[in-house]
Amino acid sequence: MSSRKLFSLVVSSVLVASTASAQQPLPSKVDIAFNRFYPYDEVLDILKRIQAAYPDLVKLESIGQSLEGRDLVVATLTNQKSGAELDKPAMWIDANVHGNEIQGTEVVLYTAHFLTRAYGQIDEITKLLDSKVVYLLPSQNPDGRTYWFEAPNTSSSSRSGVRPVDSDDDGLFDEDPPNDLDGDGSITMMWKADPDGDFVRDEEDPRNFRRARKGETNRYRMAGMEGVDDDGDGQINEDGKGGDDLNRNWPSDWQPNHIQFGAAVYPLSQPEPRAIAGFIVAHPNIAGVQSYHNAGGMILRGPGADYLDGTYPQADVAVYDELGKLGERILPYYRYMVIWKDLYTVHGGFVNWTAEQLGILSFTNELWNDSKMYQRDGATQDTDEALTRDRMLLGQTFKDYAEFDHPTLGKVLIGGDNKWGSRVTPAFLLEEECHRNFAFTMAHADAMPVLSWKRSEAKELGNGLYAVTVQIENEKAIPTRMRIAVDRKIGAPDILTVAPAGAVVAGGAISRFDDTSFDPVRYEPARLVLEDGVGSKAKRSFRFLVRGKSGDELKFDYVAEKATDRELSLRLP
Amino acid sequence: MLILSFTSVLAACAAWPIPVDDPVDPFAAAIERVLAGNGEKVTRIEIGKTAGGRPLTVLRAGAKDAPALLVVSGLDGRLKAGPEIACLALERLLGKHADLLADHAIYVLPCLNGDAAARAADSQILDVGGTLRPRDDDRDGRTDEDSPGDVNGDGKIGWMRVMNPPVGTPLTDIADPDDPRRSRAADRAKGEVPAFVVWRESLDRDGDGRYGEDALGGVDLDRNFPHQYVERDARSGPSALSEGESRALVDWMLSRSDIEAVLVLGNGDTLIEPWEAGKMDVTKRAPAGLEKADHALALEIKKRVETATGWKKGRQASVEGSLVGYAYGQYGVPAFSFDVTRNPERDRALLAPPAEAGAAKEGEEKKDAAKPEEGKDGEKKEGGKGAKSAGKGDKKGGDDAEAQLLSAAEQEGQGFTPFQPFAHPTLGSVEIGGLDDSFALTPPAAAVSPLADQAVEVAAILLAALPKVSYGKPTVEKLSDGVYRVRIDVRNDGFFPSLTAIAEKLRRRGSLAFQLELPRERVPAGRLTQLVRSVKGGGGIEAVEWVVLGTEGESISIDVRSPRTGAAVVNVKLSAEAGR
Repeated sequence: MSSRKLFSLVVSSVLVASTASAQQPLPSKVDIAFNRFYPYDEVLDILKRIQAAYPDLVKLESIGQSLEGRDLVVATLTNQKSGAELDKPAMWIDANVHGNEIQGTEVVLYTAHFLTRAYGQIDEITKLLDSKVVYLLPSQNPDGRTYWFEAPNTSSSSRSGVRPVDSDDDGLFDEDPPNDLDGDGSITMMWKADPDGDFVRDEEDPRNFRRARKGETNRYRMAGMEGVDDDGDGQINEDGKGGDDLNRNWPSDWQPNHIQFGAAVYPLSQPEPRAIAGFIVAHPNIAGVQSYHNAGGMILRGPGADYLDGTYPQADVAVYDELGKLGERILPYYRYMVIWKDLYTVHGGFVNWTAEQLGILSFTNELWNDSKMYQRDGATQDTDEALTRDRMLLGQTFKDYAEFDHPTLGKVLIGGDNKWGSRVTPAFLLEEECHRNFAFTMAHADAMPVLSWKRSEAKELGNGLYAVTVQIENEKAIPTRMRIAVDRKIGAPDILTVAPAGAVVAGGAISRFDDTSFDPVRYEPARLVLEDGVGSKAKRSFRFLVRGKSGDELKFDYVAEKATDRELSLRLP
Repeated sequence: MLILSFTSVLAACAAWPIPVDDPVDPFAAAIERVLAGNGEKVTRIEIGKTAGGRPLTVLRAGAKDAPALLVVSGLDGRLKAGPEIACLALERLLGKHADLLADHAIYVLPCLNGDAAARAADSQILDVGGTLRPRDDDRDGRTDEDSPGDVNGDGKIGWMRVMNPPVGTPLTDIADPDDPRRSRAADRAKGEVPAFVVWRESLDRDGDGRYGEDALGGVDLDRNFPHQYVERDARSGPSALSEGESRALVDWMLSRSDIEAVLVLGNGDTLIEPWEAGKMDVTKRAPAGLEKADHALALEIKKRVETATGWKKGRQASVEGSLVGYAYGQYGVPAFSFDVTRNPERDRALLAPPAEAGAAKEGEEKKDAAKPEEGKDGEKKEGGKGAKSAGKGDKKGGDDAEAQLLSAAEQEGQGFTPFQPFAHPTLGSVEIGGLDDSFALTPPAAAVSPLADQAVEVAAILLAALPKVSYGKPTVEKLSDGVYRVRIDVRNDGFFPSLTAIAEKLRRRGSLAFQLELPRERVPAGRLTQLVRSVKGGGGIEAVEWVVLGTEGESISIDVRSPRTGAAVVNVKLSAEAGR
């Protein structure tokens, strides 16, 4: 069986098992609804309940605090009795680095919930937690999440961190945010009647404004987001809360604010990225990264800038492609894309850092695509679809326009989509979104390297000399060392040692194409430093000339940061 | 013949004192001297600690709330002259230019890398002047385990001419027939037969067949700042500001709004070799060197420095990840580098009798100043520089510099150790000698004092050039009954503009904001809050203006906010006579 087929089968088995179980609910010690969204304190409470229910599988730790002092809590999921955590390959999953992009947090909670209740129930999950680790960070930006939930916002505001920034350079900080003038809990739009305006209300659906045709009267102009001139400078809403984009603060192609808006003052200047970076660097076993955002339905990989095109070696791109295309099948209406080419330029992004500076295969999923609402391609958000959406959501995401007496603009209409009106997965579709993305990350986790000895033999050459051959295989798609790690000398190289070292006369790798000879290293033949590691679905063979006698034991130890180390014992014949 | 057993050599190596346990600042005495000698004129600020626990001490002198020059030294522990020059210069500035300090201020951080400065005193193991962070240069899973060191016991770490390298290592070099002190690649086309390879004086401490390939670790602080930071370069560190020392400095700088220029006493010059203008970096949105308008400022400073010091030529400092690069490119202030390494031509002029020094200033044909060793990577390459010469590398930076250093060493009778045979424990017969690293990096001891004098002059030039921003009393012009024009002028009496061109692009340093405390309907013209961002130097003026409706004699208020001038409320009377 080819290794490609083997991989496909393994992935299929994960999906088939999960889907089947999802149809027959697994018993769980913790009940959690996945048709709603959770403020950050409730998120932490859910994690605590899961941890209390499954103490052998879940460990919670605070890895630092946000600017406003909220704990950044990482849940470590693994069978804590099946080997050292750092010796198991690990999948990192986080969400909500942009405070408004909330539903990734629910996907993270779903992941914790599904994994714990499926352990011991679904073989693939049991195997996964026995042999691997899943690190879950429900929110990279709990302050932004909290502000989004608690304060009036749009679906796009409260994106940043909360460090006050003087956006209008007037010496005051965050002094003129949008204002919830109509008290509906959201920031919606203001329209001002204006005979010279360019818009009229749509006669078919007065909730929409459309461009005016020649001769039409009752015109309006857009008067901006709901708000007043808080600081009396003649401008409205020009200095809202925060301003640092925590997904532009990472030390990978970081650029200052005039090049990359929101970059903050230097890479890792903000406490949240700094704490997270500390954790990830201290866990070199992390071999896969997923960071959930919204929206658009994308499975994104780096690089983030055109001049970095070519940074990802072809061998790595092949693995990204394999997983990315699998993701497109798991996630309808999602597309696998490259950040700079298919989205926009990003300097200092989180997954750029994990992929390009740490050599970890990393994706960002942009959750939710409007096509999912209508279950067909090409959502246009036109009037028909808006009406259809309102039928499905029963108008919950729209605030009807109403007149308001604005202190400086006079009478205006205030209304439109509230903060739940776009980007956020509709609650009735949330569980499906959670499960499909969870399943994709499990495929990603399943692709992390797994090593096994394939061949070990010793042949006597005479005079107490033996030729000992061992072969190790990585059956998975992700190599023990991504090519980018090899090229950039990231992390520790794999090392194969033989004991007793004194018995080893010569040692080295055997070519794939010639088993009759090997390429001996000149020094330390009992300690092979393998910068290349073991590739994607690949085998590597090594031969040692060993002096000894029949019955002598040799011990081989293959050490890799991103795979479980493997030991092998062999006796000379 | 001295033959050491391999085991005994390794045992000896294990005793090499790599750790630095004593956290006393090696320049503490100089700092205390400055403080003790100047009473209340100098104050001490501690902005953090090194990884080894040494305090990062800043000395401040000058007027309260005045525009300030920041001087930083000691980024590289091997540049031993820098901290002493910094302390001496501050002491002398207080005496010679007290007038400048009446309305300006100066901060001096004598040593940013006290750990390396302390370690540099140990000559038994090669030091690269970086932080305490270990590194695995040879990618064998071990860190700092095979450092070059003093193998022959002469107290120096030189270069080895290895005649019998391990199998598989080809011979490459010969002693230069024109100057046997130098080694160079043999020219086989001319029948020259290579006789040796040149490596650092080292053992193979980790037994991997390579010599001195994983030296004492460390991050070069002057490559660890975020402007044009070079990623994936071991000397730069794992990320910009990864080191506590560089981060503490930047955090402190960002917490202040009075630092208007930066002078780094470091490795290379930008005072008389300013970076170019007109070229953009990889993003195409930031200059590779200087913004054009800032380049003009740099050329004027160059002229003033040349006049004051007699310097004509220097070795340009690198921008990549450097402190001076950051201070300009991201902190946004005029920033310059003063070279405190050995510059044979400059140092000769400094030490010459006045007449000869004058002649030197007139400018005979000059060669490039010496280029010191670049750091760990270069040094760790098997067969690095030092006593190597012609036929390899860049002629401008390597050979001419080496020739000057050899010449200086000959004149001073130090700095070069003749190659002497030595029985290496594993390589057999070798010759050990060559240029001392510290010689290239350290000016002659006698030049330190005159260099400090020149640093005083440079600091004075920069202090005098700092922007001096102030706003005047509002003026009122009556346009008609009940209608007044109110105007405030903002003036810059310094030479530098209140914002450099790069600072305007960065939009980071604060404006002056003037907010009229009147309802909108009483201000028919002019935004209630108006900003003045940049004011040109040399008496440049920018103004804010409103047309106000009011009554004769009425007093109105204007809130002024600025990191430079602080917050204030200015009251003005609406009157035909007011403020004209």
